[in-house]
Amino acid sequence: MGEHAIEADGLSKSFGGVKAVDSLTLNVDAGEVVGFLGPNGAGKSTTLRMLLGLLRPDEGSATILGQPCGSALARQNTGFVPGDVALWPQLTGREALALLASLHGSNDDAYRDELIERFELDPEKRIRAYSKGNRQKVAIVAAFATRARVLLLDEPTSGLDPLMERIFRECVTEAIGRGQAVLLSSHMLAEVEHLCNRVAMIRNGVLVTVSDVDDLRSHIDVEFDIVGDVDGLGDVEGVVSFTPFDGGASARVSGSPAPLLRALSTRNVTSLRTREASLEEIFLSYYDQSTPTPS
Amino acid sequence: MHRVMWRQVRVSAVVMVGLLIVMISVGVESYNASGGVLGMKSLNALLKNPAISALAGRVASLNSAGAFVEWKMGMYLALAVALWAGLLATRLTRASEDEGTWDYLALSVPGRRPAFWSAVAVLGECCALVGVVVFVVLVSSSQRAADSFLYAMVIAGVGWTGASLGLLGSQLFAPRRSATQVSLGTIGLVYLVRMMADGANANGWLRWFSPFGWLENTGAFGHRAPVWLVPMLVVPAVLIAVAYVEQERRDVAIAVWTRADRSRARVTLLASSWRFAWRERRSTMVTWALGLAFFGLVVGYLTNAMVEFTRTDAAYVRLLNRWGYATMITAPGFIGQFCVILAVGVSFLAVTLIAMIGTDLRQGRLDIPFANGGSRSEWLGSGVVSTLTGIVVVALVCGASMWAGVESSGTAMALLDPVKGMLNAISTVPLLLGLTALLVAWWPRFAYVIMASLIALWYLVAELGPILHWPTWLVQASPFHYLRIVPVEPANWPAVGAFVVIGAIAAAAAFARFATADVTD
Repeated sequence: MGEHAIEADGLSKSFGGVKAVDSLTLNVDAGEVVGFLGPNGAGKSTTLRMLLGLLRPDEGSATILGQPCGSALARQNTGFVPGDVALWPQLTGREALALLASLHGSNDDAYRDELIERFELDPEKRIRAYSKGNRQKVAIVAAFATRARVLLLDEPTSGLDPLMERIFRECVTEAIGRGQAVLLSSHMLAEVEHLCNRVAMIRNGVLVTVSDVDDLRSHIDVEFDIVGDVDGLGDVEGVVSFTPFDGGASARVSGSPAPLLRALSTRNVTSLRTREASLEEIFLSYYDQSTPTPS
Repeated sequence: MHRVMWRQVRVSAVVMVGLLIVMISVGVESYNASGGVLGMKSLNALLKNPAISALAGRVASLNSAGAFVEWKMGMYLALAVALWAGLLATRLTRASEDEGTWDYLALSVPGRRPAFWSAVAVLGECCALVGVVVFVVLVSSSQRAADSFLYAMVIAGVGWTGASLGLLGSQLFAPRRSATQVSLGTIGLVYLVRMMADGANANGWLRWFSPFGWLENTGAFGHRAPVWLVPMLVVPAVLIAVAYVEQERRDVAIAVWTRADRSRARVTLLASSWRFAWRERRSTMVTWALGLAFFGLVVGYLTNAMVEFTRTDAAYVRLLNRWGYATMITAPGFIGQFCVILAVGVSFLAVTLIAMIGTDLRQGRLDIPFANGGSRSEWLGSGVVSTLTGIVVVALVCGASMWAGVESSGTAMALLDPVKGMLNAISTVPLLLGLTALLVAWWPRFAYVIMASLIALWYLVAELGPILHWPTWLVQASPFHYLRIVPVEPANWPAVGAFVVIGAIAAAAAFARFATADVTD
């Protein structure tokens, strides 16, 4: 271990007999943003908390820049933004930033001030007087101002207005330009599509796929009517999901559809329709608990 | 709405019911163990002593266990019930507005008005519950039903007054911290008015202005004047009416006096977890230090009167001997005895300060610090060190104020005497800190409740166990049992050593656990 900025190998965690995360293996490289998607309760936050050292994995291990998660060196190289920021209500924003900076040990004060300005944060207000979005801003400014080499972001833009979301995206883009590694858990599909090189999708605690965003963009939906059975077509190279229906089937193909078309040419196909699947459709197919887990 | 509010108060209601049952039962048992009416004869002269009246309250007679409970414990019970009801009121109303949960109630079909009246109803039911428990416990201890009923009404009435002060404070002040400070501060103030009223005969008229004075004037087990229940109903009704008008008039989450939302940043005490530990605990320490120092000042001031009194009443001295308070016949002994009583207050403070770590954990405030480089061991260590240091400072302040009180009453005493007494009183703190830290590391949610209950239990066992001939092992299980009356006796150094060693072992286990445990709420 240690080649990647973030390495998780077979992480598992259960709470009271319920498996929240099951054998999750995932790597994130320096200068890369990996989107971490999944329905509510899928295990995203549990995974992030294990990577942060806030939860101990039952099985498996994880490192940040080659250091065991939770170790002092790993923590010093990590910036974290939770989805629901809780801080001491009597502190002002500036005081909270000062405290978090001192605990982290290193902080770029000039960059912090720049971020305060860009996010239009009023730092003299007390935390208890902030809206949810403004509390998020405090955590975002604190995490980015540390210049940590690894950023773990758990739905960081929840509560931010669209203008601030745009500023956040700019900050992430700048961070990856500096070689920082980012694992971004988010339900904002446009944000993931815009920022991420790869996406990891988790459902019921199981990592169902890790794909390049470009590969996902090349997905094609193929729907055909056929006389006879559809046996074996779901196993054709490139087919990532396959849903038979009476008298036909629909399939989602990653990359070239040629292998599927070759297979179909040997069957009695009466009609065939194709179209490019949007990223949102692809994401949602992973979210939908009623559909089988895409292979 | 009503049920939702009851869910918020039910645990503390159960604790309060338990406290009432234990305190009243212990009071009745103490009376019986002291020989009943005959045993109390030697105390009769005490009832006329203004110093005793200021401390424990005035009472007309001690001719029944109920009367003894009313005198010996009644004032403290009433104070506890009033503070509890005031806290519940700010919890149900202002805290809900701070957290935003009041919005859901205000936006529900019944609306904001029923939400307010639901809070009033729940508080009323809590006070009624207190009254029922007091009545049942007293009657089951063979006290006269009519007297017990009147006394139960009075205790419930004082609670109701505390609740109405909390309700009004919640409408006038925000956030909850300010509302609580003002409401509970007012309750403390009217308690002080009662002390002043009882401290000198010329001040008796002041009892009219305090619910604790109304309690005394009612004299449930003495002269029986139920007319004093009237102000306990009328004054809260007026306060609640004002609170209602104010809540109808204002916007949700706003108050007449809202603490400023903006402030200039003060970062000196934010430069490390060690410094922040101080900052986080500073206001709590100062508040407790002021309260305990004031109590110490009053006790110091009363020393002269108490010691003079013992010189003139041999029967009282015999009673003190029988109850194990023989050292109280001298000024240093009196001071030393009260230092042991103050040890309970200091112990609660120590537990409160350490349990803050558990609160921070549960609220999720430590997620970012622990994820972004903060060391968990340092966090716990800074909490323990700041608490320990703060407790020493509070003890010194308290000792000094006690000395000032003694000196101002005309009795000469060395400054070191009460200071030594207070330092002896905090010798249990290392043990309590270690155990609280251990609970914070394992069960942060229950750390405070468990330790606060243990302190109350240990103190009761240490004070009453020997008098009531409870099992030796039970008495010896209480750390307070090992506190000597310093400065008239030498400190119990072997016990102090044992407290430090056990506390250190518990703290070591706490550190090991805290450094690696899952951070969950």
